[in-house]
Amino acid sequence: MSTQKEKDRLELLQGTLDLLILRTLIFGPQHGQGIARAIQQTTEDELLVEHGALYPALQRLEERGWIAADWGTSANNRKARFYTLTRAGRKQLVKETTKWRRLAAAIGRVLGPEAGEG
Amino acid sequence: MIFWRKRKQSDFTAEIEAHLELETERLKEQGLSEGEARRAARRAFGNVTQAEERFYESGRSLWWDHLVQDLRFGLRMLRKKPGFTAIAVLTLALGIGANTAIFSLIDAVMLRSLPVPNPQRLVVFTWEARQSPQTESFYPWSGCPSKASDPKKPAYTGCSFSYPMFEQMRAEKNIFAAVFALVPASSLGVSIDGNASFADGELVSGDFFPALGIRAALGRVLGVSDEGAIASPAVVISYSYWKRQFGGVPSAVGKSIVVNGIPFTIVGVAPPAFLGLDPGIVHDMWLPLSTEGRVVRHVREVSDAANWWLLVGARLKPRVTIAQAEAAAQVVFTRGVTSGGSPILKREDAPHLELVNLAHGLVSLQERFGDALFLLMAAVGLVLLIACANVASLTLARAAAREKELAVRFALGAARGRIIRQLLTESLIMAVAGGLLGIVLAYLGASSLAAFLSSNWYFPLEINVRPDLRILGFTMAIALLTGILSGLAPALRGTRIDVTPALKESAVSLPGTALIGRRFGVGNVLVVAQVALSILVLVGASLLARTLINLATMKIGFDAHNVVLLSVYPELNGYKGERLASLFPELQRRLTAVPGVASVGYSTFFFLGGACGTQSIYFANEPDQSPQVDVLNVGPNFFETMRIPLLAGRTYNARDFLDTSEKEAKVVIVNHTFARRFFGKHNPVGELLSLAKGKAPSVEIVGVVGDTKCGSLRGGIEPTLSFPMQPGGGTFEVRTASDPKALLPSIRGALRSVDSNLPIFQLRTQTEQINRTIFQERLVAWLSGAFALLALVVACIGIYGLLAHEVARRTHEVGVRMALGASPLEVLGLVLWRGIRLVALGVVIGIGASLGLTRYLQSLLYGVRPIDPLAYAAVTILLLIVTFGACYLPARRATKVDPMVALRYE
Repeated sequence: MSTQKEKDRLELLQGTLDLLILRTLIFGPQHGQGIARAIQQTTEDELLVEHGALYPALQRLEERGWIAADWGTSANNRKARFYTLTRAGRKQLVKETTKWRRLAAAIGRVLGPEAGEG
Repeated sequence: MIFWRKRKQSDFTAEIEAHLELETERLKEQGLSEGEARRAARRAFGNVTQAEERFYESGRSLWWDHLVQDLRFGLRMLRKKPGFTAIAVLTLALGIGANTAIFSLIDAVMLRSLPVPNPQRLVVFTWEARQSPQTESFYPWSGCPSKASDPKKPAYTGCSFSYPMFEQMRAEKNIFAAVFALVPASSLGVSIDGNASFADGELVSGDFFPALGIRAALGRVLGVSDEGAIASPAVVISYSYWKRQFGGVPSAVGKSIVVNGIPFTIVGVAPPAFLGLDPGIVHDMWLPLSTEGRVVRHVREVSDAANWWLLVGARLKPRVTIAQAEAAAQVVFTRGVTSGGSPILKREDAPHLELVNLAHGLVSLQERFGDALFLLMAAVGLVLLIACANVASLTLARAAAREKELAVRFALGAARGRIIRQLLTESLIMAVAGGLLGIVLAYLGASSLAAFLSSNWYFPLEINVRPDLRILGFTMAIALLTGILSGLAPALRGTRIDVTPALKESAVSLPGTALIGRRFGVGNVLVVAQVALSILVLVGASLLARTLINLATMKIGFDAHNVVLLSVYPELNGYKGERLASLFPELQRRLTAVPGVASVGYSTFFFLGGACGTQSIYFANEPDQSPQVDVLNVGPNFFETMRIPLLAGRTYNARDFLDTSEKEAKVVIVNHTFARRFFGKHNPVGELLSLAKGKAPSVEIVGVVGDTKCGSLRGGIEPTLSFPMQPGGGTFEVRTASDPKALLPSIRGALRSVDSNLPIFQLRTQTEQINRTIFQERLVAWLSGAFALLALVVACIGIYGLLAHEVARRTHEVGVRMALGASPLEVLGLVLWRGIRLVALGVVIGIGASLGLTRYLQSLLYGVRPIDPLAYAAVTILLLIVTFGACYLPARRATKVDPMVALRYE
């Protein structure tokens, strides 16, 4: 983990963290640290996810009923709070994904075809 | 619930701990040392405390924390200014207390349900028809509740029914669980162990107590089985009568008492909460309806369907609606009243039966006091509005003084909403404190008001004004409303602060802002509102006061001072024939002999007792005309005692009374109005009239006396006949040489010396009697006067506070002006003018509102029009004088400003 790489990371856009959490949970229950790790791995460390920001987001999603949480035991036998995607969360994920795809496509059209890295 | 977090803070912290542990372990697996891994995990996490804080704010209901914080802070701020807090709380307490007091009375008289199980299942029967029913005798029940007023209401309504009709309704067992009937039995002569006294009771059918669902506090209640008892009928006494007459001993049950000469056995005591069907009106005893005709007599024949005298009520069967019951009862009623040889009502008269919900009982007190109470409620509502405006303007002035404090808080990043909430919390604390104090004031006020109502009813009332949940709820609701009303404007206004100048000391003295008074835009409105509302209350009060003065000083035609009235009904004690005929002359002799008594007369009715008798008369020249005139039969010496002038002819002599044993009178004395109406300028003495149609006129007019008010002060003067009084119950008028109150014991003694068992009914002075008839006017005049005074004082405090505050703010400006050569007079004028301008605007608005609103007082006024120029002028002048004082004090203080001190003010 070089400092150089950390500087190059992209800041998360407003609201995208929720989407990423929901998407991550589709593979099954996971605890906070696991979610953070999964996001980082799948985005190949491109996205800057401050772990501290993750928990209020989880809290928010839980209050909206999109995810449910319970204490459980992690793979290496530690107590951790595990999050599960609820039925409402699944629906929300579909909705958010569609929205995000449309948004990305629209922005892509405005920006025009990729002219190759600068 | 947002009150409680779903997750505890510790749970959240544990989760973060777990995260850090997991992350550290993962990093250690990648080859970092324990310390490095831990640090890296922390770094990746970011700010732990911030995450925890964010969790704290999202999960917990922050407003609760803020509320506790605001309350603490508010209390501290209020403690810092005890003078301001005391005035504001007291003002609010008076306003809220006055409202709660009047509301308690309205609650007690109108809103409370009968203290019986399921009161909403009780109904009372009422009828209506286009024609008057052709009854043999009719006892008019008052105090029947009616359904929402129908504009097309038929001309005749009532709630008296015949006994046969009651029996038929009772047979409708499919709709009614029980049907009961009752009739009042007032002024019962009761003898307990040989001691005579009066009691008020009711004759009730056997179903009365079972239908209401009332169980005895002691012994048993009356039941259907008591209806047949002849030998020693049962009686149930009220709880208060039991306490009063028997000292509350259990052995009272089983005791024998004599009521109007008939022995009764007390079988039970009613529960303390149950006074009867009419809220506030307490009955002493309930006797079986079957004793009608023996104890009291309302009708000649109970079983006659043409005698309408009973109030009939019922408890509906479960699951039967009022509409269903009404439809079924309607059939019974129509069949009953339209059938037979001479039907009481014809079908085309559209006789209609209505069942009215009896949950709140009968409405006698509501009919009598309702208007006055609603008027007072409106008055205290206005007072509360004034109090709100007053506290608002005080708070506003204070908010201005706290400008710097608020500016500092803004500068430190406080949100405007947060500060508004803080200021509102302070207002609410004061309002709630005012409300709590108000409840105490209200209870005292309502108790004395209830005592006042009671002393002006015909017999003592039991009006329960103990605060119940409804009253407490009402008080707290108006306290909160008051807090918001009085706090919102200052809070909104006070938080519109430009931080930079406010933080500078010199902010207050910036010329322009102070003179135009932008800040006091809201303050001005509040002063104008206070003045306008005060005018409204004052105008109302002055109209009511003038009504009272008009009534109290009107010509009544007799001298009411130093006259004692006492009523005696000897027939109730078994007086008959010769013994009865000689009793009144004997009592008159004894009373006249009492030292200090000037003269004694007697009559059937007494003046201003609510009603006079009426009589049809016929003249020889107009045999088909039968004008109705008032009748007041009098004993010897009556006109002399009452100081009613004799205008022509003579008054009665002893011979006139010797003839009174005969059915028809031979002589009559008429009043002035009678003479003028029927004889014009001609002297009627010696003229004859007849009292029955087709009979030769034989009653000779022997004298003409001056006009007097008979039934009520508001009533007009009718042509009146006074016949020599026949033996029977009546009232003595005892004129005393000095204060009549001092003679009451010896007057009582004189009566007792003739017959110690003879109860005296209502011993009081004529003046007390008159006061009783204008009780409502006295009540509203005095109370609205007091409220108007309160309004005036509160408004003055408001005006004074605003101006005083402004003068303080403008000390620097005044100093500059005086340094530049303004005279003290000019400064005085400047401040005065500002106050007077506001007051004048308030007066104009107030008068405009009064012109629109006082017409609703019409029915309560007498001898004064709602738009009375004198009242308006007097009120305006009074208000101007008082407010001038409120403006002058601060203005004078401004002139005392030393320019040097003022300029050095900063």
